Amino acid sequence: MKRLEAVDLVKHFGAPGARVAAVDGVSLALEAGERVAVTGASGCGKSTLLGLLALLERPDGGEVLLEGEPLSRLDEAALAQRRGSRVGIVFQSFRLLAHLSALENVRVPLDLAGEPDADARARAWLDRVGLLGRAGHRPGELSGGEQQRVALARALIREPAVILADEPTGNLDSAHGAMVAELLFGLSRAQGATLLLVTHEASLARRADRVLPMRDGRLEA
Amino acid sequence: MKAPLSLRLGLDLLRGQAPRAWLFALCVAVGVAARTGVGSFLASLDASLQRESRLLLGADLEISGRAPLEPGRRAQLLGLLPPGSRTSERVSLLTMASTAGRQAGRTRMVQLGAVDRDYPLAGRLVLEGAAGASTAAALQSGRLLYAQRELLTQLGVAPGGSVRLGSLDFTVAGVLVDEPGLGPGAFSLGPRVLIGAGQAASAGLTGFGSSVSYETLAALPDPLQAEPFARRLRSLWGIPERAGFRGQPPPAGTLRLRSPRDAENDLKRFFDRLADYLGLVSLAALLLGGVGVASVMRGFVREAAVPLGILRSVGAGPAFTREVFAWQSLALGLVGSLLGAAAGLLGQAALAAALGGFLPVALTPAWSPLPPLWGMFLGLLTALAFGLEPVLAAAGQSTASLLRDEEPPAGPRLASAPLLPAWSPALAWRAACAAAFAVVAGLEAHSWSRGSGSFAALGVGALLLNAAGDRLLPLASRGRSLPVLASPRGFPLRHALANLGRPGLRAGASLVALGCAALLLGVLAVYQHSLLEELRPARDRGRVPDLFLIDLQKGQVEPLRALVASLAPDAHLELSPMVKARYRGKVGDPPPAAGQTGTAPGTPQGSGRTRDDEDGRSMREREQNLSWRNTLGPGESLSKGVWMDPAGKDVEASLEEWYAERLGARLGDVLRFDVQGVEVQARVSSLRKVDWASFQPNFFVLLSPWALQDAPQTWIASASRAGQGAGLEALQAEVVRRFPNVTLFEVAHAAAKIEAILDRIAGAVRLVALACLATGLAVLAGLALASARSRRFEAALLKVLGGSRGQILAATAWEFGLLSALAGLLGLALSLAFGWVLLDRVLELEFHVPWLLLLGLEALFTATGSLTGVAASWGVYQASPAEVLRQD
Repeated sequence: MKRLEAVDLVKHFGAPGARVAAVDGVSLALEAGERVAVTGASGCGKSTLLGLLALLERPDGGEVLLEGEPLSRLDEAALAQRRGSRVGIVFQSFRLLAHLSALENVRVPLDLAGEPDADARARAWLDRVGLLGRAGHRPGELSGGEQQRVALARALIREPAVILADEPTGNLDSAHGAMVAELLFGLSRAQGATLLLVTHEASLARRADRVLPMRDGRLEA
Repeated sequence: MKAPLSLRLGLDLLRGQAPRAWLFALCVAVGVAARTGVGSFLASLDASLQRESRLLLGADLEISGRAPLEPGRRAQLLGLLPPGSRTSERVSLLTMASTAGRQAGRTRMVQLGAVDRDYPLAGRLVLEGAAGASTAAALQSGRLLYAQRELLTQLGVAPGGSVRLGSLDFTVAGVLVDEPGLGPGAFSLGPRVLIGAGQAASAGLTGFGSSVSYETLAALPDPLQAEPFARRLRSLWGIPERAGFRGQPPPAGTLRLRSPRDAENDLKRFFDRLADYLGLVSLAALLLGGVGVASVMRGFVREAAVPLGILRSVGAGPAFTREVFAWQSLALGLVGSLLGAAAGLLGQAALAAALGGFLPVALTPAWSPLPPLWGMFLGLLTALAFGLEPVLAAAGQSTASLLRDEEPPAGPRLASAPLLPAWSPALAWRAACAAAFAVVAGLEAHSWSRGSGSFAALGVGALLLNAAGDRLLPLASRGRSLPVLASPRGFPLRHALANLGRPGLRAGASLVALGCAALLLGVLAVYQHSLLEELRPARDRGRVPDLFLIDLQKGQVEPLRALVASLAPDAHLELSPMVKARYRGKVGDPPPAAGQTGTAPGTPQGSGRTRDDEDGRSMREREQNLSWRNTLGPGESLSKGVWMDPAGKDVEASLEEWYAERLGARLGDVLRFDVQGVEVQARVSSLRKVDWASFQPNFFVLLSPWALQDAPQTWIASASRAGQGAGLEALQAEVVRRFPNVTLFEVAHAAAKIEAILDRIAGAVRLVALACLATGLAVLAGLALASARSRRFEAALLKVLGGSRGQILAATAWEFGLLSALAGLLGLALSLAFGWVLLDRVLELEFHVPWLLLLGLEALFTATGSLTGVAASWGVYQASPAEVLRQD
């Protein structure tokens, strides 16, 4: 059974009569623990593909299977449940809640799921990304690299089966980018999670097991 | 002609801002609706009273006095009346009715009218089940009476049964349903009873000391001639415009003349006063709407940052910016005002319904243009005053900052603001607006002191709420780290608390608007509850009397003492003499100019520049009950001066301090009183505080005990610990049997009447005050709209992280519920403080807290606030998680 599978995915945008296929018949299959990079020019559809795989929006055609379960027939509540428990997502611009502390941001997925020991587990994860000392700081008081490490801890705290990262180092300088990449690959490996990252940075893509170039909504390989 | 650029730009900037624009209009509309509703209700009442004024009097003219009209004057009157006129005689008094023939029957106070066969001259008598009886002709053929159903029920007597009045038994010949001028039962001192002419005297009810009014009624062939005829007669007989009051016989030796317009004004006075308060409350709703307007306008200014930056960069000055937003405010204010005026015109029926049973006439809606125009003027004033406030406050933002689409710089927090802020256009604008609204409040209250005092109180309340919010919201937000909230189920509440600390939330406006609404409703609840507690006869049995007895004759005092001692040995009687007199001014005052005794002809009675003027004049001109006592009474204390010397040579006066203030009298002033034709001069030697809630016989003026000993006098008595139930009934029945001229008030009945009146008044004020709650909720909805963008993103992100719509909804409900609960709590806490000041310090009444009612109000604020927040954030829950990606 594949960890994550896409079958002939299609997603259109635009008004009727002028619709553009952002994702046009994409199929792929990711094994457990596999690390895959999707690369391509800006606007080629890679972030849309990630959104479909992350269950953030529904495809116009095709199917996404998470650990063998087809997702198209699930309702929103069920999708949210799968997203929270089996998928971890890292965004280019961190997407932290500005009025919560680093610790509170990290524990949000546990809170939403009603899981116990949220505080201790969040502290442990902050420690793993080297930010326990900054637990009480709000995002505005953290550097970009620190914010992304908080986002990483938040994505991994529920030990997801799949980690999806959208340009995770895109907003960081090279030093912080390297640190975040190290953490992303290291932690996903330690957890046996499947990693799919979307990037246009060749150095980051090279660290993946497989690289899937994308152009005009289609995967080339 | 092309519209100015500032106007076009102002309207252009509204594009795509529909929710905000509607909210602005709504904030204005609620207050305008309330003010228009109140004004239209009063206009409708005026019109209805005017239409029915002849029926209110039952004639075109009523001449009344303490004695029957002298034969000479009667002849003169008949000679002056135009041919075709009709006249009728009526004797009116308050007396006691009891069940006939039984030793210990029930007794009730009634408003008795002894009328001739032609009564009434306008309108008709309506009897239950008897279609034909339109006049009192049938009452002339024996000892018959018509009585309202209320009396028959109270006495347990059926039609055909007997009722005792004075020394005679009367047969109930009909149940009176309506009579011209009967008015709403709520304000009457007792049920109405009609008997035939001459029967009051036969029953021994018109002896010396009884408060009897002898009335001659006249109907003219042309009712339009009533006012000119009344003016002519006043001038001919020297009757002042204002002599005596509704329900009170005119002073001895004087005549009182009422035309339909006077009857109308007598009835209107209460509603005019009520409308003053309702006008103030609706002004409060408008001001709270102003808080919402400022909040919405801040959003407009924020959204328009870039276009304004561009305009500034090409040379537009600050005046242009102000113009743009002034047009915007006026346009939206006009929309809100129009909507509010329309709603108010339709909503006047709600106020009429709230006062149902209290209105003296059937109300027909009158579509007077003045109330909606005044309401709209106030709406536009609010829109402009509050709309420009954030524009001026943000004037310091640099052009570069505007072009970068940055937040305008926040003003200093109240806690760190200097005591006297530096002069700025914003400060000047605020001061000008505050002055304008203080003037409006004075106009609304018809009293500069009450109006500006209420406005200042609301302003202080708003400042305190703002300051408290400044400190408490961050504190509440920090409460999320409490261990009790650490459980997984605590997420929605924890998240809501965190959201209260959201940067740029600007929850202060909602806190102020909702808190002020809670303050108003809270003060109203505390005021009503405290008054009712004061009126509860059982509250302090023994201290509060059970009975009042009035019109006792000097010779009846000792027999009454003996009677009470034998029937109710534990009872305590407090007896005071009363001498009727009129205040004539201070020695040294210039004599009144001709015609100054009353208002100018044609001016409605009681009209003055302000209500304070009216009160002062009313105090000066009303008939006074003078009394004397050797020492201060139980509820009295001296506040100034020394108690009078009982053996002193000069007549001294002790005045109640509020009365002295109204009179403008100080210690040492010599006052002149006309005591039934004899002038008595008295030097003010002391001022007294009087505990009116003690329910003891108290007086505004006490004179030296020896000064009035020989004047014609009656006595008033209060009886405490006089028993309950059957014992009290038996005592009353025996008093009525032995002293038929004495009138008894049972305090429990009077208190129940007052409670019913207070309840209705409070109901009407509460109805208008709910407009404040509606405005507060509109401001809260504005807060939801203002933060919708960040909330939407947050909801999408929570969905990405596995949150369900239900969890987001629950967190939103908690957040707005907490904010509203905090606003309600602060407002209600302030209402306790303000209520204490009002009751304990100003009115000197005991302060009672209606805890259950306040708890109910808090629940109402929390629930409605939570629901409003959830509803106004509806779009947020629809946020798709994919939106998070698209923003990258």
